[in-house]
Amino acid sequence: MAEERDLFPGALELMILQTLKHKPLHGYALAQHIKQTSNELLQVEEGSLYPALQRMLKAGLVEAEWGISATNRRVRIYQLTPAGRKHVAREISSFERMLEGITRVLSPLKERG
Amino acid sequence: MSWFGQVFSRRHLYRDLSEEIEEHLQERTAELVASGMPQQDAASMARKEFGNSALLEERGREVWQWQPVERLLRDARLAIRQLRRNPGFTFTVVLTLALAIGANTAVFSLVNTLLLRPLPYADPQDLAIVVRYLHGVSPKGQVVDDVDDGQDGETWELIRDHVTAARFAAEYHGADGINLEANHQARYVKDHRVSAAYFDVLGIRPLMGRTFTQEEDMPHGPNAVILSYELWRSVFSSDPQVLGRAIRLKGEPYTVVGVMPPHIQTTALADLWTPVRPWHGGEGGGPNYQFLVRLNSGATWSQVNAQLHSLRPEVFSHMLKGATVYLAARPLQEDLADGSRTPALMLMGAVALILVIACINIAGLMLVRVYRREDEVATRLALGATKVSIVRQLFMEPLLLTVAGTALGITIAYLALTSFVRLLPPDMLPATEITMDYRVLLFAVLCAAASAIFIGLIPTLATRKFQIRPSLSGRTSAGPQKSRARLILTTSEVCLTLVLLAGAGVLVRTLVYLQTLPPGFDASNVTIAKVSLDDARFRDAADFRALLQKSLDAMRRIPGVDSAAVGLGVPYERGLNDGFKIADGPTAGTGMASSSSYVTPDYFRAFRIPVIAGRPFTDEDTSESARVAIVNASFARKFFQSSDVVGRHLLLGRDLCEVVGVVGDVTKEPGISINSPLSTEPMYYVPATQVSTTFLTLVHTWFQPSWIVRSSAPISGLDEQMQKALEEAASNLPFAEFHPMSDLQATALSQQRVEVILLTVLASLALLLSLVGVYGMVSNLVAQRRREIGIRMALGCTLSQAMVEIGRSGVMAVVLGLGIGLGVAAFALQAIKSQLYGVRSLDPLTLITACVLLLLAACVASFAPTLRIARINPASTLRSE
Repeated sequence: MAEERDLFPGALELMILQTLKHKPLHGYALAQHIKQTSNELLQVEEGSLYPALQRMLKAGLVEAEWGISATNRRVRIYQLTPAGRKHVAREISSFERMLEGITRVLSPLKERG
Repeated sequence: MSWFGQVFSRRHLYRDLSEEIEEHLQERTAELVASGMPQQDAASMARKEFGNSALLEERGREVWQWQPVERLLRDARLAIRQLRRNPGFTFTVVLTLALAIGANTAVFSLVNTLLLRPLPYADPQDLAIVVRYLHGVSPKGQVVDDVDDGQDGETWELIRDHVTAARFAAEYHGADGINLEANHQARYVKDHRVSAAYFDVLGIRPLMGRTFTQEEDMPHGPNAVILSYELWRSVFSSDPQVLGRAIRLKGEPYTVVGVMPPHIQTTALADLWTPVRPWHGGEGGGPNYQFLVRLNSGATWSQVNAQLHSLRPEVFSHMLKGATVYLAARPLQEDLADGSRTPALMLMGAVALILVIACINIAGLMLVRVYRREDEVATRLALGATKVSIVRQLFMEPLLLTVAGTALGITIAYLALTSFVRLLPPDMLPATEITMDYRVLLFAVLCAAASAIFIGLIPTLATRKFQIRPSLSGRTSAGPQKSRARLILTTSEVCLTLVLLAGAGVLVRTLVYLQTLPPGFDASNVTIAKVSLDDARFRDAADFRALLQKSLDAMRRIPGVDSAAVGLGVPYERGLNDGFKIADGPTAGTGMASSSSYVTPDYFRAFRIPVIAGRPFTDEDTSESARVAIVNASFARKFFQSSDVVGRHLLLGRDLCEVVGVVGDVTKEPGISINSPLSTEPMYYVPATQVSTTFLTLVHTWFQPSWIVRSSAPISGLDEQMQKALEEAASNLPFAEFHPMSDLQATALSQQRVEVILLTVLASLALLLSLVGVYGMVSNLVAQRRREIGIRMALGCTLSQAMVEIGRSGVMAVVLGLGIGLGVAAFALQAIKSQLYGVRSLDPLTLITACVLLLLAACVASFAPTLRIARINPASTLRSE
């Protein structure tokens, strides 16, 4: 299962962090948000969100609190910590650098194709 | 959060997680229901989208755990629960492993002490002994490959003067009994004669005083003695003024020059040391010395060997014609362990086989367990457990079992070692005690690791074939591959057991052969005691004769004594080898050597050695009368090629002796041909009255004559009365220990007896283990094929047909094992050839007996479980289908 969880190591975490940057969310809402914004391109099991959230909780990137959702449900709402904010900024810039590198390597092929 | 805090808040974290997941599923379900889906479909859809919730929750929890350890602990807890549910299985396995690993640890301690652990000397790698190698072909065409550490005085002088790369010390081979008179006591003590550099070469410094000077180590040098710590304490009451004191040794004054520290290990057990004074004359005329070597700093062994190679002592020219002969240094440890290497390695091999057999057995048991758990494993695989986690758990049981078994095994080994050492003859080991050090513990751990891997590997391999579907359908079948794995295990077990049984068998036959060798004399009611006559008071032949006369007369007067005699050697002992010439007939003048002894007239009567022809010695054979000799039957056969030898002549030194009698052979420890611990060999006897002073002086430095008393019935207090009788003839002349003659026979074969006991115990253990293996295999087969047998019997198969069908596989495994085992034994038994006498390593009788024994036992073990088939009710089997 572990091998199917992520697109690449850390991708799911990055998406969660990026989503939480805008507003605190609970697990279900997070899952729906990631699904929709990625246009269902990323076939992620909804449940794999939770181990990832636990990892980030442990690393102190996010914090969680029980609260009441818009639909009046008792839910656990996650929000970024200052450390989480720093982390996501760093990760995204390094992700972009990597993406840029990959794109450069791949672009000649595209031209030919 | 700190790790510590995490542990405490963990339950809280877990609860949050599982609540949260539950909420997620409910929220999704509610959403789907709101969109018009029926409740049931919505719940199942929500679960499908979510994934394996149990597994994901588990992953979430794992984030907070210290993964590898927590997993192991969890597996261990499960394994312990499983093991506690089967106490019989757990007990059997732990005990089997404890015995097997314990035996291996104990025997390895022995091997470690003898062959691996460095000697207790400074820089032991710089110590060696000088040996003479001889490679050649005998006139009979046999290849001769000989290593000898006995060297003569001329060789000593050559080495001392020409080899510069090392320091050398000479010693007499072993310690001799001598008489010590000091502090108003007369004691029979062990004297080891060593040259001046001996302690320096070994690297041992005296506690007090000094070692010998060069001057003391020269012929006719001043008499000096070094005391052992133990002797200094007992006889001299730890007297600090002992240095410089004169004591009497061998009837002569000696000056104490040193005292050695306690518990030193030297090359012979000794109470005191005197200078050996090596030279080319006297005892130096024969190979009576050993030379220790200590490499000089900066020099190499190849330099020493090159210098030794160039020496050509006179003695080489008397060796086998055309042979390559040279001197070389051989590591001291190798030399000391020479005699015990093969027995020690043989034992090591035997216990290693036991461990393998035990592991095979346990692997078989584990296999049954894992097959029983096939449904469980399949279910876990179906629920998403990884193969790795299944394997990890399958290995947990063997791991726990071996840890417990090893701990118990090391304890058993530790306790056994003390009693084991007592079982061995005292001089069998060059070490005084066998201890367990880090090497031994490391070895035990390696044994345990290998066992755990083997025991865990077999069931793991079996699970590869597990399929999820048939298991879950509740229809596991006895596939052929299941019984095949078991068959291979049982076959190899039987094969190894045959090797052990055959090994024990040939050793038993060796012992039987040696023990039933006709002794040639009657040991009942014979007591012997040695006296050292390496004593100034008795060097002269006349004084010697007077001592014998007076002491024997006094002993004959002890009530109940039937006869009393003195002999230089007694049966079962190694005798003096002496040269002689046949003085008449076709072979006259050729020099030969044989075992020999001087004896008093009653010697043959006391031992009841039959006089076959001619007469025994009498009181008429005096120092003045004509020189006579008596030979034994083997001597007559070998040297005269005739049994009618009375009246023939031998030339002993310059004395022409007439052979006046022929006596029966007695069993002795061989002196010339060392191919058996006991044998009958050619021997001649001369009257004690006719030996010269020169001869006496020489032989009494090496041998202590025995006083022999035969009584008509056991006499209480005989020892004291014999000592008193000796006192009447000479004051301050102590006897060494008194021995019933029957003890000597037991001592002579003690090593063989120990080998037989140990190997028989091990072979029986192997037999028991493999029978359990066969029994287990067949009973498991019965259980597995219960349904099939029931159906068959319902279809008309008879009970006996069914029993044969099932039991056959056990017998088949044994027959197969025996076949392979014979081949393996053929190789393995070559290794113990040197331990066998009177029997070939591949003795047909032994092999047949071992095979028949195994086969019979295996038949019982195979068919006993099939009796349970009778209880199978075909009707109920069909109903359950």
